[in-house]
Amino acid sequence: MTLFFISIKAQVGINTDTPNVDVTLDINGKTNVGQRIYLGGTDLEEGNPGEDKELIISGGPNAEPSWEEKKLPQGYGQSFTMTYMNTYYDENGLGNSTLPASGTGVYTRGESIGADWKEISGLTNDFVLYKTGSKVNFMFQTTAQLTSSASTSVSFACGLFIAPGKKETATTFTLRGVRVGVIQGTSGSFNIVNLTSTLDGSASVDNLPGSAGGTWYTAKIACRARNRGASTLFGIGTPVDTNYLNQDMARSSLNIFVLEKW
Amino acid sequence: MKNLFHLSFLIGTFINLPAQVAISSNPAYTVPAGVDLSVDGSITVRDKIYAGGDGTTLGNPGKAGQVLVSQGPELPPKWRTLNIPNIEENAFYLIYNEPFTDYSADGSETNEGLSFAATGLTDNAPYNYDATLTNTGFTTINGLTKSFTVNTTNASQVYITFEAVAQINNTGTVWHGTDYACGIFVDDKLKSVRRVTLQAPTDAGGVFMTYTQIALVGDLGQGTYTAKVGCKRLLNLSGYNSNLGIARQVYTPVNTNLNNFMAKSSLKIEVYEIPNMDNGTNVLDFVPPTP
Repeated sequence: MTLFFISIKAQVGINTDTPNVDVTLDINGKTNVGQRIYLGGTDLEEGNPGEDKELIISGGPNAEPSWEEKKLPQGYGQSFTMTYMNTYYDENGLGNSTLPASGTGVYTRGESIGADWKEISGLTNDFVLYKTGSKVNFMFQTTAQLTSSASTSVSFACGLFIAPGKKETATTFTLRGVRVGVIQGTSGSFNIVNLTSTLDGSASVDNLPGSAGGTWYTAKIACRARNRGASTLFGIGTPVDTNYLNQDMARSSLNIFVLEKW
Repeated sequence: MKNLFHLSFLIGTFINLPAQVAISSNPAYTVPAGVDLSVDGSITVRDKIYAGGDGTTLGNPGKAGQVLVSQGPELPPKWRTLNIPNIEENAFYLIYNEPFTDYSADGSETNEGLSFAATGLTDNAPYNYDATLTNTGFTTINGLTKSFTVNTTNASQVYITFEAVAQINNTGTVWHGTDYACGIFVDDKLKSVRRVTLQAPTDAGGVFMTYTQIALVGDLGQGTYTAKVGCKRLLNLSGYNSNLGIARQVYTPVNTNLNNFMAKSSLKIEVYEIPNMDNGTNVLDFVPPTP
């Protein structure tokens, strides 16, 4: 039996006249390895052939690769995975002149946005869904305030509207979630407004299908005064009596996060 | 017998092997068609593996932590980032996160909610942590009874958030109202309770309020648990003797001030865990469960 041991102390190029100067072996083509791949090692010790189901993990440009196991924690993926999250602020809000009383009627899911709903424009933003059956969660918070010459109450509503398409092109906004609120008290009284809404992309009523290339939707928060009582001024997301609130204290925020299935 | 070929060159020179190259101790070994270098055995790579590149441009050594991934028979392998969380010791990770509404069935628009008739109850007793659902006498919103799992044997934190609108059917009497309490239960034990007064400060009818409640439950331990939301009507105020709705409209005339859509409730369960990676799953064995 003949055992050949060839040691080539130079750069080796396979199928190239110009092997890259930074590497010892430059294979300009396909490589077939009949057996194991050992990583690391020295003249005396063999490298690591890896364990079952280990992966070749890069050490970056300054360190050698190694065989490693990549693990996921127990329970991972059993629910939904957050695939998108963003938070938006609005510093303008809706001032008194934009909020006439619009009556204390009811609102139904899916109704089109009408002229009575006033957009908090800084919160209008788009999000993308890649799968059908996603859950999209919205958390909106703002502060509303009134002024009046006597104690009174003002009721109002804030709604979440969704339209298909990106922000620049979305037009057909329909109501998906709504909360009504009321402020009671003397001039300068204010109240916090919360709206948390979860849309189920697979439910026929919410109907937010995704697609592999991404399907875009635009979310809009719009509010309206219902009954203005004896109020002189009324604002949502902006102060109408700066003795008690300033714009920073009254600003609006919207947090959007998308949970997608595996 | 050992034949040693020792080829030594000056720095800057190289060996070019333009044809198919085989490394084998078997003289009859032939290189498979289409392959430029074939090793009939194992190879050792002591330093970096560059993917792609050419004579002038170095291939990609990958970023630390990336994985060498095949791109199929037509393309060279590529270093890619695995889209999995990088789990660090002693840090909390959001393992489970699911929001629910109280629809009576999937795709239905009918909410469960609760409607309490006037009972004249004058219940002023406090409720204690871990009191049983039975002992509190709370009525559950069945659409919000949901199970969740804690996987880790390390520390965990569970956040449960409940939101709903409550309404009374007052008409024209100032200070009509009622007290009520809502609780969040885990395995029928009370983890969070809030007692609330809903009262009409004016004679405007159908007074309502949005009600948000958070329960934070630490270190439940490994297992599957059931979250429930229950409420109870308590003391009546100023002789009020009509209905209380929680996540339901109760004002008459019906649907003039709120409707059930406007009053609907929601529940969100978030489980944060310090994962026990000893019990982790190899990414190659991971089977995505059906949510």
